[in-house]
Amino acid sequence: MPAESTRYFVRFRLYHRILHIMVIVSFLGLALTGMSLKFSGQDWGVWLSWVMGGPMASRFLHRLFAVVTFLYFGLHVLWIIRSWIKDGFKKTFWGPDSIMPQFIDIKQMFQNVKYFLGKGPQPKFDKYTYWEKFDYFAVFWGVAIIGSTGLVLWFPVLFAHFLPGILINAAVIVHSDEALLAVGFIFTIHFFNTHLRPEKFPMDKVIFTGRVTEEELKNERPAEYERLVASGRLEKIETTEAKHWVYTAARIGGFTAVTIGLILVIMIIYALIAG
Amino acid sequence: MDRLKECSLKPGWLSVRKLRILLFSSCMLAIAVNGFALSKEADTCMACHSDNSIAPTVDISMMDYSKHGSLDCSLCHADAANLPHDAAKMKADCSTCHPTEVTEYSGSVHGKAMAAGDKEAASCVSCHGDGHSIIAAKDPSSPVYHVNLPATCGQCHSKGKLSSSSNANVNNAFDIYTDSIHGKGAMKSGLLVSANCSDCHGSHAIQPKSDPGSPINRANVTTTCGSCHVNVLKDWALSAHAEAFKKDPVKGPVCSDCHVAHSVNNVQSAKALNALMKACSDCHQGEFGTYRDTFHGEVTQLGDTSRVASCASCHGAHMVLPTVDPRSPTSYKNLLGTCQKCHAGATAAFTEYMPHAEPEDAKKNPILHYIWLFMTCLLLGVFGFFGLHTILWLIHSLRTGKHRRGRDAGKDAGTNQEHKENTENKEGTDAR
Repeated sequence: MPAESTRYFVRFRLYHRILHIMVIVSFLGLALTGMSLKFSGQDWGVWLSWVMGGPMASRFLHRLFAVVTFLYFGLHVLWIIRSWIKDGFKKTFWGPDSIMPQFIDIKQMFQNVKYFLGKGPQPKFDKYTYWEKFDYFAVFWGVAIIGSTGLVLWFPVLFAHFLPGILINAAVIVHSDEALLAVGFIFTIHFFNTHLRPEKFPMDKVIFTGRVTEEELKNERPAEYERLVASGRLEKIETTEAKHWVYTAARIGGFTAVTIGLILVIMIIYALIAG
Repeated sequence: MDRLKECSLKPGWLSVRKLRILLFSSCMLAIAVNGFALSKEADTCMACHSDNSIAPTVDISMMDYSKHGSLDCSLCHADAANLPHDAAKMKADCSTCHPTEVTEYSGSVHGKAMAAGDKEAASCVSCHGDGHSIIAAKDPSSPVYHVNLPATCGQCHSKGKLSSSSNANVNNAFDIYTDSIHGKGAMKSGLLVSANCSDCHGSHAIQPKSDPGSPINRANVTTTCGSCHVNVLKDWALSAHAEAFKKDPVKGPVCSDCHVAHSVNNVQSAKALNALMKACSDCHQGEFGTYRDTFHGEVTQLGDTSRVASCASCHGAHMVLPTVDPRSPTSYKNLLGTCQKCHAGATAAFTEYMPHAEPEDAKKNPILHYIWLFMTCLLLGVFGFFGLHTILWLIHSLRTGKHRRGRDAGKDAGTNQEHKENTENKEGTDAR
């Protein structure tokens, strides 16, 4: 535990923390139910399906979690609209406080790779790093693509009323491959980038507590820190340490999610290699 | 019996009551002496061959009930009337009365094995029971009664019983048959219409599958099964499979190619249906592969066949026909109706869905192929880039000791390399 004198600042508001928990729960549920179907030719796929009550029960659960997904997607879009109204178009969709990818992200990506290779300094990251923006858009794009194709597969007869039938075939390919991308990406790259990398190992609890220490803010996001100090907004986002139960819950929930994800991704890799 | 009847018919000296008593005690006496119905000759033989007198002793307890009970011993045991008997002529010869059956048997797989000296080969009594107590096949307690026959054959044709054969189908037939729909029908439910061993294999003239005359030879299988499954045979005869069979009797599919002989099962069960589809895949490998890639194929593979299409749902079962045939359920004319069996309200556009799509093949469906190619490249690109990114990050972090937490960095600033780097970075960016 950090010392008493440690200062804490808000990084994620309660609204976003709750949405992320919805993402975790629904994503894990969708991944388990979906992958048991995609890998029905594997023994573990059959076993996983059996554990969840058979393919028809899995189908029900998959659709239930899909509804949760549409719900958090909708709530997130509402938040964007709120920012747009409150902070204006420019501040919401551009600039250092926006999650929109910008030129500086490409620059920082090259700088960071150079830094990994020991050929330059670490770039001064702002509120959202380029990989965090990629994570965000992976989900945003993912939900849009997997969600829309998923609806086609949910209601094929309905969609075939105004679209060609081959769209169902296309939806199968896109839904399945995009899901494999999402599952593979979240359970390896995202887990490493945010939790498993040596600096954060075994996990970064910020998405559950919503708080970062002054040290973390200064070291990891120096540009944001400087902006906050310069504008005098730093004091406005200062907060207290998260309650003990939040840490405990974060640890339990986080580890559960990471463990399930890692096991699933290992099984998928095994299936892809072993055939 | 006739003597008794004669007595009872003489009127006058017997009252009905006395008659009843006499009838009853005569019956009791008949049962007590245990051989009331035996022939005179048999009576003589039994003087020695009953109980523990001279071997071989004959158990005559069932003879009264037996079909053979009233026969003379010498009918079967040729030298029975002469003493001492000529041992060579004493072996029971069934052919005296059953010449056809014995001739058939001699040519059968059992008869040949017996002639060749196989001690395990079945003889007449192996199936019909001891000749002295033999009863009609129609009698429900006969070992060859329709529903009893499987267990009788099973005395030899079940696991671990036969040492002379290495053919698993021959050795374990009874075990497999017991769990089949035929076995359950005959043995559990006692259905006389449910096939037992002899319905398919024949009885006395039983032959191995390889024999062209055997009812289970490829050439004869459809006729044999069709003798009960009349409409199935009619459908099959119209199918593409029957046509293929006519052209090539070795490869053209017959009943047993899909429905595995002894284990033939109710197609409603998921296990049986998956086994059937597996049989389809023996010939239609490519189509089966693409089916397994669909939702239908995945769900059935997971063991639920109740709600999704299997091969036969679309193609029909016995009267399977190519799509170009207008009678086929997958023909242009019938396809919509076939889809609508499950997908109520399906439109013509819905039937454009390809249940056997091959996105890997650019020639077959170019649109799907390019979508598939794009997705594949996307996956490889993202995992390639971020995989490399992650590896570089990991190596860098481990080399520079970044695994020491950021917040600890400030505490031992002097020795912590990370702190040094941060300072360097700051200088670096400041310089810019």
